[in-house]
Amino acid sequence: MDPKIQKVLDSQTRTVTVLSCLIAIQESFGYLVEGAIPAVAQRTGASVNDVYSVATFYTHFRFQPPGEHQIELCWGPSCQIFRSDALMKQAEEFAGIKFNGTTPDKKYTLRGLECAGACALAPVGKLDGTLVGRLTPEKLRERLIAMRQNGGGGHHG
Amino acid sequence: MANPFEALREQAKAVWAAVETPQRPQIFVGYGIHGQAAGAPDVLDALKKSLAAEAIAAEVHITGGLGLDFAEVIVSIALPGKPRVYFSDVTPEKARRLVEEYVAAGRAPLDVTVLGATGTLDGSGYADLFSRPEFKHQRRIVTANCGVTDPTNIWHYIAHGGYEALRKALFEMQPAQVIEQVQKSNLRGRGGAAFPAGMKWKFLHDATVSPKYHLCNSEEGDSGAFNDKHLLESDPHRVIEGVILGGYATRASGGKGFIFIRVGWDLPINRAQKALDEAYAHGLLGKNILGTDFSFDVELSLTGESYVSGEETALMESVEGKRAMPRYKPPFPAASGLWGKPSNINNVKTYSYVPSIVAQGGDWFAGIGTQRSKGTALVCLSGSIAKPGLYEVPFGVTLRQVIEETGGGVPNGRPLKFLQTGGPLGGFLPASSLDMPLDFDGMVAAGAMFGSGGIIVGDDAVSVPKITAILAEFNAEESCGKCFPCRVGTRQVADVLERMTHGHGSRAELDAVMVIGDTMKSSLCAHGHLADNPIKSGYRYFKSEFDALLPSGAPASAASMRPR
Repeated sequence: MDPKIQKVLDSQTRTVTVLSCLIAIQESFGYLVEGAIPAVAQRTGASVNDVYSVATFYTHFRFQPPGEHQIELCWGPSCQIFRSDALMKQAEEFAGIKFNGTTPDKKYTLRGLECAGACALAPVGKLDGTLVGRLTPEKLRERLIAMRQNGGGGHHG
Repeated sequence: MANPFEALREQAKAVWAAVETPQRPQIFVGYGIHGQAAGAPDVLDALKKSLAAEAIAAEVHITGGLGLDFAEVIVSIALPGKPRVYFSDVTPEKARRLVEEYVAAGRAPLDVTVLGATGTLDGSGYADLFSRPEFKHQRRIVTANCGVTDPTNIWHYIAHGGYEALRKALFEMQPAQVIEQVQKSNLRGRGGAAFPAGMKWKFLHDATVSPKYHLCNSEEGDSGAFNDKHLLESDPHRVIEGVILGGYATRASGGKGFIFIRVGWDLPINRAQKALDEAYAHGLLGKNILGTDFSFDVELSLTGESYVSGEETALMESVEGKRAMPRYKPPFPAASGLWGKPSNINNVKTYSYVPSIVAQGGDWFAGIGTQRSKGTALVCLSGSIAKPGLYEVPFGVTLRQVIEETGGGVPNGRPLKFLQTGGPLGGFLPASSLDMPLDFDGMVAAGAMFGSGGIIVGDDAVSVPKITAILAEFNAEESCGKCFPCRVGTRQVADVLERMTHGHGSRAELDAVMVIGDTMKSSLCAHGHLADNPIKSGYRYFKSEFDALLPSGAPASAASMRPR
């Protein structure tokens, strides 16, 4: 087992399960790195098949590294009432990619959130892990430009 | 036996006294999810910098949400000898001026809005915070501390009566007596199904296998609902005390509680973890709680992104680390649940009521609310509403009292069109339902449901078919895939609505969707049972809007598609 993965798996403080191991790896590396699946199988005694089945069930697990910057826009009904589609369009134009994707240069990952839990301040987004409410296309654009100028953010939300 | 709780209570009193009648300025920043989204981190930063620049020795605390989410960031300040004044819409710039003008010189800046004040108000010129219209219909039981105390400080919780119910139960009551009070209270589950909590607890109490588990469900994937996260981030010790009481009442000594929450909800996760660490440090969790022979552990269990993992049997699969797919029932969780052991699952809100019920008695709780829906409801208002936020109101208040008098109604003079209640599996109610009292059963009869408490308000500019299509897409994406009527059906419903809202619908398809809804009832869990609620209730109350989307000349009906 890759010692870096081993260290992450061994440092868990809560009940260890297949899911907890996968969450720990994604929190540490930003995605399920190569070798993650067999390592989790080895650690938990589950089959590789079972580990894959869990990793592909929960929608936030990814097998590719995310972009340097995370642009997440809430896609729940409260936010859509406040035109989150216009925000999404703004973000798509800014990053030059479509909804739920990463730019080829790995600079930006754009993703829709089902609900960010801040419906009272809709529409809401999470930019490099920072929650921002009452977004407008203009405010989003300012934030995105600031994000680009600030360089590496890389918060794995 | 000397009761070790006495010492905790004394220390808490001293800590809170120094906050309430301070020697130096006390500053509180509203830092729940809504405070955070409104910019609380920058406000906190600005406050600290200004205090340092002015060389003022003040104590800075954080609080969770007061519920007036529209007014975040809310900063409250108690100067020595003055009431605690709540300021709204605070920006970093306003935070700086609050320090320079109010904290340093005692003059509140005129352009920073004051919500009200608490404490001794005589001659202060400030009105009581709780005399505001948003509080008129509220009865704050589980949210009493929210926005007032620091959720990262156990002493604040104990100073407000926290862990007194646990002390009372451990030292003065038998487990069966605790259950008796919960049964008397008629507390019904707040996760959506509204099952009597006392009855579930009795099943677990009577189980003879050990260990026993308590699962506190805070998954809350419902769009439009944020009350579970609100409780965990604003008053986590209350949740924990409720779970420990559940363990004691159900004779689960040596067992364990899990607080179940989705990965990525950092504020509620971090605050709950901090609170658990504090509870362990003070002997309120772990072996021999408060020196008694009752031992109980509680830990956080993180799940991945999956809406169905909030379903009670799918939740157990998730805690075990598997795909969150529902199990067959029976066996019911009280007989064979987590890892095959007797288990109880309740929502965070349900557990949170228990400390108050134990402290004040089941009869007290049963005296609040309607005939069949007891206690209070945590309503989350969002959408076309003047004052979106979280409000705790007794069951029986009307939707009008909630929407118009508490939430300020629809802004900009637009008419109210609909209320979408109960999350993506809930339904629509028309504006004519405003005089309906808040009640589990009454709302289900009307085709909606109270569910987990989210109410999304729509004005006349919002399209019901569009919102229905969004909810249907959510339900299709989130079907776990175990039962094919749900897996296939939710996708068909979503696709039909998607086509309709883009002008490509047909009467035949719309008719078929209604039949699909009936077929989905054969699924294992509520996701399939209820997934057609949005379209059924949407069509029931806003038929003409759907019909208007059908291209003219579409076939009148498709009776041939109905099973005979």
